[in-house]
Amino acid sequence: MTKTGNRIGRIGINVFMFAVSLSCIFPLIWMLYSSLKTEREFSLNIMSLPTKPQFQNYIDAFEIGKMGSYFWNSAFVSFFTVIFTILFGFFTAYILARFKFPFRNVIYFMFLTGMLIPIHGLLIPIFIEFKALGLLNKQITLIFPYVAFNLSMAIFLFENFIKTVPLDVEEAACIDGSSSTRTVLSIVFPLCLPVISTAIILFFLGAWNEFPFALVLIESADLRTLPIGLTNFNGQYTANYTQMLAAMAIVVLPVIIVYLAFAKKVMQGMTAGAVKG
Amino acid sequence: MNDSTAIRPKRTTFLIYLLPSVILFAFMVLVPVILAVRYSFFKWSGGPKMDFIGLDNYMTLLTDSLFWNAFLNNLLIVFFSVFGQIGIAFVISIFLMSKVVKLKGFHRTVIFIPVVLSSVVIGFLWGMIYNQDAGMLNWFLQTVGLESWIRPWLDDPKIVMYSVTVPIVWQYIGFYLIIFLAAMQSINNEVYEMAELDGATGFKKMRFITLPLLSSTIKIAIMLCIAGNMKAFDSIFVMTGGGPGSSSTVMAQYAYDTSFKAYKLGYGSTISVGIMVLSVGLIIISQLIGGKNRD
Amino acid sequence: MKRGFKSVTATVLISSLAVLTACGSNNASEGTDGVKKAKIKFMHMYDKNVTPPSHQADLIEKFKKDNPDVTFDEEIQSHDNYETKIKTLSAANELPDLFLVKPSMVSTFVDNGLLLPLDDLLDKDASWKDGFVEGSLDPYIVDGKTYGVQMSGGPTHVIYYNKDLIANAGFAEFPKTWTEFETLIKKLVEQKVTPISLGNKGKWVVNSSYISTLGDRFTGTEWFNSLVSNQGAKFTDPEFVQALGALQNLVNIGAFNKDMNSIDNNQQRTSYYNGKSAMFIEGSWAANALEATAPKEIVEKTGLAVFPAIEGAKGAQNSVSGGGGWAYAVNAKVDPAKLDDIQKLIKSLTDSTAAKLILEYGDIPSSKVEDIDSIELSPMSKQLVQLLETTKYTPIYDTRMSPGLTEAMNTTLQEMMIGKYTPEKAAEVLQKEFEAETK
Repeated sequence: MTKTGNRIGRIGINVFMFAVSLSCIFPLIWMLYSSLKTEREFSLNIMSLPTKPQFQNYIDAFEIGKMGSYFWNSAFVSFFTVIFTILFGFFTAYILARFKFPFRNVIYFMFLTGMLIPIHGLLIPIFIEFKALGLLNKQITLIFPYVAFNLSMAIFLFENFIKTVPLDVEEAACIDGSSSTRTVLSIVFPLCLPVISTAIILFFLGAWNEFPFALVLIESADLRTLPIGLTNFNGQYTANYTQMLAAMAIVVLPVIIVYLAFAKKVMQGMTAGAVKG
Repeated sequence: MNDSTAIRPKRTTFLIYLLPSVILFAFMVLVPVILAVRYSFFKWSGGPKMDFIGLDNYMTLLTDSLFWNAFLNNLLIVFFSVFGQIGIAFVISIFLMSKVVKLKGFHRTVIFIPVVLSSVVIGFLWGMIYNQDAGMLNWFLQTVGLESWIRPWLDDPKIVMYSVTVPIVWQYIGFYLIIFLAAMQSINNEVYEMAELDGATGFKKMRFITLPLLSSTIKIAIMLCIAGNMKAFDSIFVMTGGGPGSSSTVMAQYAYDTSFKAYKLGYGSTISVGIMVLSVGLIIISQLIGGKNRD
Repeated sequence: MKRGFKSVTATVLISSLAVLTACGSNNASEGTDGVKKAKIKFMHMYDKNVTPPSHQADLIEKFKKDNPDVTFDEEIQSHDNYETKIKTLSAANELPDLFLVKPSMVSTFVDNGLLLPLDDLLDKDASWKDGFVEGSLDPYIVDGKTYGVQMSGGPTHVIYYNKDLIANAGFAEFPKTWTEFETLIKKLVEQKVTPISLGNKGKWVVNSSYISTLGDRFTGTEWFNSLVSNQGAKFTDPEFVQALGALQNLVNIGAFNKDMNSIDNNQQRTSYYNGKSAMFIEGSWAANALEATAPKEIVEKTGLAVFPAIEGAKGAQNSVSGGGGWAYAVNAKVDPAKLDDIQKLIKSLTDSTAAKLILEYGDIPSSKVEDIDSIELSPMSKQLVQLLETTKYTPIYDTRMSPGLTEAMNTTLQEMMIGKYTPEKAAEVLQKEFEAETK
C-alpha cells in the first residue's frame, strides 16, 4: 500500500518537475522558431511553425538594428559593471560584516534602501546630475548608475554571507603576520564563491537588459546598448514582430550561452561553499 | 556582528575598502533621491518654470484613489510572490535535494532560465499566452474540454491582476531556488542522518530541520521579494499597459505615466517618494513579524 | 602568488577611483570649433534603415546630400523612446537645436520659454508659407505666434471595412446613418463576425481614432475650442455625454472583440486580415501597413469610410479628426548663426516638393500638391484621397488637450468601456481633472 503510494508520489513529483521545467524553456523555443517566420505567417497564427525559415529576419535585425555595435557596447558596460560591483560590494560588505564603527548601521541601511528605489522616478534628476557632472553620453556613462544600483544587492548578499564565515581562520592568518588585504582576498573571498557566481549572473543580466538609463543618458547611436536597439523595431503605428523576435533572440542567446557555461560553476561554487561553511 | 581587533585593518585600508562604494552610491543614488524629494514640493511641468507649492502634492497623493489603487495592486503582487515564488521555490528545492527527482541538473539549469530573460521579453511572451483567440492558454483549455474556463484573461478587470501576477511569480522562482539550494547544501548532512536515526521522515525532516535552519535565508528572500515587487512595472506594462482602465496599473507605472505622459514632474516625484516610503514601511513590518516568529 | 594579491587589489581599486575622478574633467575639452560651421543638433524619429521607410528619412538624407556643408549631430529614437527622451531633455532645459513636437506639448513648452517662434523663418519665403493647406499650422499657434511646422497630417479616423462581410450582413454599401451602422453591427454579431476589431492597449486609439471624431459629431467644433481655451464648455455638457454614451453603446451591442484592451493597434489588424472581423478603425497610417502586410484578397475587398451621420446631432456630419501631428520646432536658445540652415532644412522637409513625395508614400501632406493627377498613387492612397475630398478636419483631442488631460481621458475612456463608469460618471471624472488643471 505505502509502496505503491510512494511510487505514485515519485512519478507525480517528477511529472510536476518536468511541467515546471517545460514552462521555463518553452518560451525560448517559441521565440526561436517564431523568429524564423514571415510577418504574415506570424500575424495569421502565432503558434504555427515557419513554413520556410526566414533567416532574413536576422540579417535585417543586424542591419537595421545595428545589433553589432550595440552588442559590443552592452558587453563592455555589462563586463565592467560586474567587475566593479563585485569588487566594491565585496570589500564594503566585508567591513560592514566584520567591524563596529560609527555610522555603521546608517551606512548599511542606506545601501539597503537602494533596493527600494523606483528608478523611473529618478530619470530626470539623474539626467540633470549627469549633465552637471559632464558625464552624459560616454562609453563609461552607464557603468556608474549600474554599479551604484547593483551595490545594494551586492552588499546585502555578501554581508549576509560573510557573517556566516567563522572568524578563526582570519584571526590565525593575521596573527601569523598576513596583511589584512591578503587575508581577505585569500581566505574570505574564495569562501564567498557561491554568492559571487550568483552575483555575476545577476549583475550581468541587470546591465545587459537595463533600459531606462540607457535611453536617457546616452545620445549617440554609437554608444547605445542592445535594449535600446530592440525598440528600433517598434514604430508608432507599425511593428514588425518577427524582426523584433529575431532581435530578441540576438539579445537573449548570448546570455543563455554564458549562463549555461556558468551554470555548472554556480553549482560547483555552491557545494564548495557548503563544504567549508 | 563580531568585532575582532586582531583582523581590523589599518585606518587607510579600512577607508579604501569602504569609501568607493559609499561615494559612488551617494552620487548616483542619494543625490537624485534628494533632488526628487525637492521636486516633490513643486508644481513643475518641465523646463525652467517651477512653482513652490509646499505640501500640496502630498495632500493630493493622500486622497489620490488611482495611487492607492495602484498600491493595492502592488500589495497583491507582493502577497502572491511571497507565498508563490518563495513557497514554490522552497518546495522545488526540497524535491531537488531529495533522491526522488531524476535529471536534477537539467531542472536546476532550466528553471533559472526565465530569470535570465528580460522583463520585456517575458511580458511579450505571456501576452501571447493569454491572447484571447490565438493564445496558448485558451487553446489548451479548449483541447482538454474546459471551454467554460476560457476567459479574456487580460481584459476582465476582476482577474487581470491575477493574470499579470502569474508571470512575475513564475519568472523569479529560479532566483529563489538558487538561494535555497545554496543554503540547503550548507546544512550538514549529519544533522539529517541523526534525525533519520531518530525516525524522522521526509515531511518531519523538512518541518523540524530544514525550515528552522533556513529561517534567516527565508527572511532575506522575503525582503528581496518585497523590494523587487514594490517596483514591478515592465512586464505588466508590456502585457496590459496598466489596463483595462487602471485595473492593472502599479505604483511605478503611475509614477512614470504622471511624469512622462501627463507631464506633471513635481507630482510624479511625489509619487516616487511615496513608493519609497511605503516600501520601507512594508519591509519593516515584515521583518517585525518575522522577528516575532523566531524562537 | 600571495604577494600578488595585495598589489592587484590596490591597482584595481586605485584605477577604479581614477576612472571615477577622471570623468569629471572630461567635458571642458568639448568646445565648439570656430572655423567650421557649428553642427546642428537635431533629434527626430526617422531612421533611414527602418522598414517600411519613411518620407521624412528620405528627405533628410536628400538634404544632407544637397548641402554637404551643413553638418548634424543627430539623435534618432524610435517613437516611444522619443517621447520619453524629449520630456527628459525639456525638463532639464537641454533641448537640441531642432526637434519634433506634438501640438499638446506646444503650450507647455512655450510656457517654459523653450520654443522659438518660427514666424520669421516662415516669412522669409512666402511661397513656402502660403503653400500650406489652410489651417494646418493652427495647432502650433500660441498667442498668434507659430511654434511648429508640420510635414504631414492625415485623418486619425478611418474605418477600414471588408466589403464582402458587410454585404453578407445585408449592406451593399457602407451605412449612411448611425442607426443603420448599429443595425449592421447587430447583424454582424448574429453572424458571429466581430464587427469592429479594436486594440486599445496603448489607450490612445479610442481617444484619437474614435472619440475625437464621434465627439465632434455630437458637440460641434466650437465646443472643443471653447473647452481648450477654458471659455465655458464642459465635459459634462449633455452633447459630449451623449457622444460617450454612443461609444459605450457600441460596446454594449457587442461591436468589439473581448480582448480589446490587451492587444495593441498592430494586433487589432490581425483579425481583420484573417477575415474574422468586418472593420477596424485607425488613422490614415494604417492604409500603408494594410497594403504591405495584409493578404491580397483582403486588400482588394477593403473599402474606406468614416463614421456615418448621426441623426439630430449638433456638429458637422462629414467631419473627421485629423491634421495636427508631429511638427518641427526650434529651441529658443538656438545659436542664431544656425537659423539660416535650419530654415532651409525645415522648408525642404515640408514644402510642396516634399509634399509630392509624402503623398507618394501614402501619407497626407500639409503643403498643397500641384497637379495631383500626375502622381502615381497606390489603390489605398487613391481611396483615401477620395474620402478626404468629401470630409473636413476637426481637432484630434489627444494632440490638442494638455498632456495631463489626455492621459486622464485615455484611462477614463477605457474605464467606461469596461463598464466601470457610466458616461455621466466618466464626464464628471474628466471635468474634475480639467478643473484641477486650469485652477
